[in-house]
Amino acid sequence: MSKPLSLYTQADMLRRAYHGCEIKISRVCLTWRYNMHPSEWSQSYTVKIRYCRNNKGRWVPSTYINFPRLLPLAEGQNRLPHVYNHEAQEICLYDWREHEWDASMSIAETIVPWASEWLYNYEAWVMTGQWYGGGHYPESEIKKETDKEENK
Amino acid sequence: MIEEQQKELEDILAELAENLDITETQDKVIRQSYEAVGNFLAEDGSLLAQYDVEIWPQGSFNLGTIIKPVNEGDDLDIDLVCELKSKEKDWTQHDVKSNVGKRLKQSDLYRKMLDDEGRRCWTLLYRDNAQSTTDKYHMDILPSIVGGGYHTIVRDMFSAKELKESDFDKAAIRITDNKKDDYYISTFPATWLKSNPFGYAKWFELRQQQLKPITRTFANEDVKPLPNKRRLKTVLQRVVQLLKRHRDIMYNGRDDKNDKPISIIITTLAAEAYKGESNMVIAFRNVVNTMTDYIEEREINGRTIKYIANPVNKAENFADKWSENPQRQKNFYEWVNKLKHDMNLISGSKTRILLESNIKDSFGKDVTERTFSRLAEKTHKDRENGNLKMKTTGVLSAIGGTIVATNHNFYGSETDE
Repeated sequence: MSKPLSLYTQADMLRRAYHGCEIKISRVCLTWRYNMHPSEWSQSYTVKIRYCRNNKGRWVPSTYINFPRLLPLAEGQNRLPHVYNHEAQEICLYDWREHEWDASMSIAETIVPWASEWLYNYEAWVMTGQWYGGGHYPESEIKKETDKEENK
Repeated sequence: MIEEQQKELEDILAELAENLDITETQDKVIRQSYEAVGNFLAEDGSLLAQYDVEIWPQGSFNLGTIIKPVNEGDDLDIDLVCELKSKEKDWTQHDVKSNVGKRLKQSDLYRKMLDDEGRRCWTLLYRDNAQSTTDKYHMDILPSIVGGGYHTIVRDMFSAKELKESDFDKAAIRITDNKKDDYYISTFPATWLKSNPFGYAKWFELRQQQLKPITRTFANEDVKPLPNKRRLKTVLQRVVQLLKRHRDIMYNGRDDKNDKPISIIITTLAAEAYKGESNMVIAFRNVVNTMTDYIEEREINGRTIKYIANPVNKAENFADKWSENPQRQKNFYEWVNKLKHDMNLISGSKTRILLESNIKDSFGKDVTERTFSRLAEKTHKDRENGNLKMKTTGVLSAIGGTIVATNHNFYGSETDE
């Protein structure tokens, strides 16, 4: 992993790229909120990224769709696709097992466009019931294995 | 609708129209089928061989405006002209028609496929050899007499840049009609019913203006397939496909679907109203808003009737059925009103999800879902190839954006963590 970017650098890059975004920063956490739409016809969504250390001391960005509060679901579905937490609308943007993201990467240039892509694919999912964005779903067995790895 | 939205809607409608095309396989199978019919009619030993008989596609298949039927299993309708370059002097319309029928019945295959005799056509039903129920089609074969040197006339017409009605008229053919009084009597084709499918095709081609002309060749071989026009569709062809589809969806399952607006009227009025716009959304909107301006009113026998002239034969009124069947006229105007209403609904959609839902209501569920999935697949592919960009507003696109969406894999659990 290359040199991690500081919280301040991340905040600065986000501020410069996304005019009118809301940023809160403390010693341990960065919170970014921004209204965005993944296509010209899409409604505006409020995306929130919280960038904090997790319980293993690792810097991890967590991404939420804050507005609308209850994202409509595809017909016959009871859960959003590619989320960590359905209730909190916390979305999964990368495969941490593959180390697709680390703290040396700019949130403004990775997590944010990925969030937009998630929204785009979410809309297509509402329309058709299918997810076209690619990616993986952990199988529970594999997940337990990797969790153990992570906890080592 | 802001300009960027209009661009995106254009991509959506272009994808939608492409999804209305018949498949390449269907296209190939249809071409093979009519070539086979043509060869059978013209081969040595055929009773028609000496009249230099040929089969050519006409109608929407030839104009490039054919669309898939709304319901799987519904028939595709292919119109063919069967041209005889000469006939026996004493042959009447009836003789021409029945000799074509007689030849078709000499084939074990075609005898079984032949439907009841039509007013002007023989119809072959393609069923058993269809690969699936979605591949059903029927071919209407229109027996006709053309003058000597017909090919030269048609070739010259197609290479011309501008044509008068009299130029088109040279490409007219004579057809049979078993409801005509002289069906069993007249041996002079000049007095028979006139039709001009290739003149119409050329007129339609000229209306497409500003776009790269599609090269067509009429060769001397008995049956030569036209160059594959798929993927070369012009804005006007796409607009006509969308209009026809909207009509099919509106009349799907209705009791009066036999009185729905006919394709030749839709195609003619759309081509008249089309002003060479290169943007499909603007073209579609303009056509929808102005197409009825091209319906004339004429005094005939003291009555005012609606008149939609055949552009290559002004004496023919495509709306001639409207006076005897007023429901048709009413349905036509109802359809145009619904088109206007639906177009406004689509343009005024508040979100992309509502946009999709409005398009679905206008053009059908399956084709709309397929359209939006294909667009999503393209977006995904663009990202995989490193071509997906994002504007600072969040809008993703392969063109125009500053932030490149790098590769990653959406992850997540099926249950909350």
